[in-house]
This record gives sequence, structure tokens and C-alpha cells, in this order.
Amino acid sequence: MTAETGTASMFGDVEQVSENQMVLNMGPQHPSTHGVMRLLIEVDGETVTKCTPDVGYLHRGVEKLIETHDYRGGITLTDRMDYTAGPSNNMGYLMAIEKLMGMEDEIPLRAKLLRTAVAELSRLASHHIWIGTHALDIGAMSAFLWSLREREKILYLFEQACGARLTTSFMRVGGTGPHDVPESWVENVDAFLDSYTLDELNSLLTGNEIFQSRTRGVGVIPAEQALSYGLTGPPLRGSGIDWDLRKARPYAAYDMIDFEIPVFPEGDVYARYLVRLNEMYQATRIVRQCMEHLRDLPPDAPSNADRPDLVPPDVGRVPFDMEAMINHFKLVMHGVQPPVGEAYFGIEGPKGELGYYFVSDGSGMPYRCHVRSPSFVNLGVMEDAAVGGLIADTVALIGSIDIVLGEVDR
Amino acid sequence: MISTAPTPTIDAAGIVSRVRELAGEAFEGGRVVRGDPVVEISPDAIPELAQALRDDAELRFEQLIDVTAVHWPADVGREFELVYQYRSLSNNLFLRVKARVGDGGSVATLAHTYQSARWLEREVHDLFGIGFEGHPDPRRVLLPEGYEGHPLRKDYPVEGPTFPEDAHRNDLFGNLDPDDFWDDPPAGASGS
Repeated sequence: MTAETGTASMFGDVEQVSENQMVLNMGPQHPSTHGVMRLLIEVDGETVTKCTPDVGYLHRGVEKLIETHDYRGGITLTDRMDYTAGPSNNMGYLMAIEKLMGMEDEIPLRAKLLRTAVAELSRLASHHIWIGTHALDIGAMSAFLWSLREREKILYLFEQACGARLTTSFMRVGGTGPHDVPESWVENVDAFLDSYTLDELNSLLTGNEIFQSRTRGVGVIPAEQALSYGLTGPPLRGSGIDWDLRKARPYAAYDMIDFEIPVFPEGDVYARYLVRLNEMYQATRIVRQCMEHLRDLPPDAPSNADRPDLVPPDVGRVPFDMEAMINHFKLVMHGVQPPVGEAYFGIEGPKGELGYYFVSDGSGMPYRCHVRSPSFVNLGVMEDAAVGGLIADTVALIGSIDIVLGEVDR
Repeated sequence: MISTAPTPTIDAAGIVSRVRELAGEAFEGGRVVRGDPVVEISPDAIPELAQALRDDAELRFEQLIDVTAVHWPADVGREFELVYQYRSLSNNLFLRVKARVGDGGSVATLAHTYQSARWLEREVHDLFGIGFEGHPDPRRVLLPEGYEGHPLRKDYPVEGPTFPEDAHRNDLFGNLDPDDFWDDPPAGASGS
């Protein structure tokens, strides 16, 4: 691309802008954009008259890559999309494959409880990044440091469970896979919940006059607009619509758990803040209940479905047991082979509905895997919601939509 | 705070038969796949059916959650399968609508019925090359302006195209044969 055409496409609308208006280019590496994103903003004085997000700087072709890997190989690609909540992405991917194979009922309770607990811990981890960077965008430094300190404890739990902190690739089709969590994990999670506190962040921000003046009545998304733009997750519930897949179509172990869905009707940045903050309190409740249920299970409760065609044999048996070795060889060479068909499965991820659409041609690799990423769809509302606000409000709005560019661009 | 959700008002088979009534002659088939209702319609009827699905009092599909496509290069004349995911929040209903369109073909946009279609259709256009008539902003969304090709087509190479600006890299590394790395290449081993 030559310099001339580059300039022309960057500021394609410059000729149409009147004398009082100005075109501002935010990004592609503005710190408030939470990654590599560009906002092309037309302003009249300080008021935004048009906002055009430009995404794709992190496009890695994950959907194409998943089509060239076997089903197990795709797991490692999923947690590199929303890297603030890796286990949640793994879980959506695996449950979509399980739906494709029609084996949702075969997943043992222990695996369901562990998945639920890890998904809620990753929701906490994701919201900690959000609350820290969102407050930082608006000018509160302490919240970022305190928030990441609490998040560190959660990442330590992930490390204990599977050996990785961010890109966990935890769990496999059919259950937890060959590596269950260590025996001490349940006690460690309980100890974490005892030491964990959200009240610091709550007292730092919720009643803070400066924070409220920057967020109340700012970036309002009416309920009509939220529905039409296909918003899901906290931006939808912050506009007063009570919809959550964990309640509407309970998956994993959510039907056993007592929890509530926070909904706030105002539709502004502050409402979305309150939704996420209350979700964090609810997530700790869910994790605690999962740990109680896990403790009630007998010690020899299975954590994988009884399906040798999907679940690898115990690693210790492979060198000494001929059948285990053949089983292991078949799984490594041919992988999971779902029947011909298609399935869509969505989970309530930290950022909204994270859906996977699979088309299988009966082979060991997906014929098509589409990722319905909540960040991408939620970001679309920027084109409307930013108009009429101030430039500084745009920054608050981006923070409140809570995007991760790895997931937007895939 | 809420702690309950609406129970689905109709079952999956009921949704399919209701959509059959709404679509009329455009209806090309419907079934229940893994518990989800799936309906195939003719591509000309996509915008009318979307409007009807949103406004129908019994269904009320308020949200268009997702738009994507699947490439079947062997089906000449109807290579692309468009997949629309609808969602009714007030009735707790899911629906998948499919339509077939040929290579180089186009369908009418849904951006005037559901705003979410603005970005979702741009993504399908970007990655598959399907046109959306009447789209308010028909640009690429993920790949840069001026990019050639549509990566999610099955005939697009996974390793990507060779760009002219990368020619100097090919001069450095392009003439390396993977077999050169092996001292004694195994019999029958090839670059694939």
C-alpha cells in the first residue's frame, strides 16, 4: 500500500467534514483502547458526532486454524482469544464439541462442578482486569494495583489446577482430561475465598464522587438499542434486560447452584459497572457452593466420561498395558471424531455470550468452526453509543463495554 | 436482581412449524438438530422472514445473535450456506435459519431490521466474499482495505498468500527445501 492511498483510506471522509468539525484518530495503540484498536472520531468542538471503530490488527485467523487442527489441538487456540478468561473459552469450545457428539448427559458431576468453578474463577479474573483498567482509564490508579493483586491469587489457583496461568488449555472433551486438579486444590480455593475481598474495590469506586460524575448518565445504551445490536452479557443486563444463559439454559452444574443475576436498568457506564461488581460477588458464592458439592462427592468419583474413544487412558498404564497403548495411539493419531452434523453452543462468558458453531464432516478435524465472540458484537454498539458524548466519555464507554481485542479480531 | 428465567413457550418442533407458516413458499426444509430448531429458506426471503420473526407475537425473536457462513465448494451453484442465529429473550427461544447462495452471489442485508447485522455481515463479506445488498457500510472489518481474497473459503491456502512486499523474505528463505533439514530423509517422506 502506498503512502497516498493509505492516507486517503485513513481519512476518507475528510472532505465532507464542515469547518467546525475535526477528525481525530485515536489509536491504534492508545492505551485506553485496551489493545490494538483504532477509533476514527469526528468531533464538533468536544462533542463526538461520528465514531468508527477500526479493528482487525490482531486478526490471526483462529477459525481457519481450528479447521486445520484436530478437535483437541483447537483447545489451545481458544484461550488465546479472550486471554483474560482462558478457562471459560476452553469450556465453551469443549461443551460445543460435546453437544455435537450428543454426549452432554455423560459428563460426570465432578467434571461439571470443576468446570463451573473454574469458569466462575475466570469470570472473576476477567472482571478484575476490567475493573482495574476501567478505573485507570477514568483516572483512579489505586484500583488497578489492588485489583491485579487479587487477580494474582486466582491465576495462582489456575496454575495449581493445570500448570498454566493465562493460556490454561484446561479440560478435555468428556471431562477434565488426564490431569484432574490436585487433592489440595479444594482447600486452596476455600482459603482463597476466605482471604479474598472485593470490599476494598467497592469502597474505592462505588461511592466515589469523581467516579460517579465520570460514569453516571454517560454512554447510555437504551434497552431497544441493546437488543437490536445483539448485546449480551453485562452490557445487556446494564440496560435492564434480565437475560443470562446460566439461568435461561443452565449448563454444566449451574442448575444445582443458588445464585442471582444482577440487572440494572439505567443503561449507562455506571450501571454496567454495578452489574459486573455484583456479578463478582455472585461468582464467589458460586465457587464456594461448587467446593461444597465437590467435598460431598465420594473420593473415587470419576472426572471423565466412560468413553475410551474420547478420553485418553491413564498415563501410567500406557507403557505396560497393550490396550491402553492402542487406545492412546488411536486418540493421538485420529483424535475425537464426531458424527456428521452441526451444533451451536453458547456459554455465558465474562464478556457476554461466547458461542461456538461447529460443522462436522465425520473426520477428525472440524469442517467449520465459527466463534461468536461477545467482544466483537458488543463493540459494534460504539458506532451509535459514542455519538453525542464527549471524547473523554468515549474512553469511559470503551472500558464499560469491556472488550478484549484478541477476541474481537480472533 | 433476578433468580428465575422464562420457560420456553414452545418446543423446538413447534418453532419449526411456526416458521414454516411465516415463511410460506420460501420454506425449504426444517428439522430439530441436537435440540435446536433449524430452518432452511430461500435466500430471497431472508429480510422478510427476519422482519416476521422479530414482529411475530408468538415467537418475538428480538436478537440476531450471529451471522456466519459455511463453504461447500462441491455444491456448484449454491456453494455458500449462510447461517443466522436468532434469539428470543422474552420467550427463551433459539432458532437457526440457513440459506444457500452461489459463489459471487449476494443477499439482502438485515442491517435495517437488526443493527447487529452491520458488523456480523461485514465479517461474512470480509472472510467469504458474499455480498450484502443495501448494507449501510459495506467495507471489510477484520482484514485491511485492499486485501485480496477471502480467507475462510476452502480454496484459500492456510499458510496465506505470498505478498509482493514479502519478496525479500522469500529471497532469503524461499529456496529452502524442508528435506534439507534431514540428514537421511525417511523413504516416502514429502513436504506435505
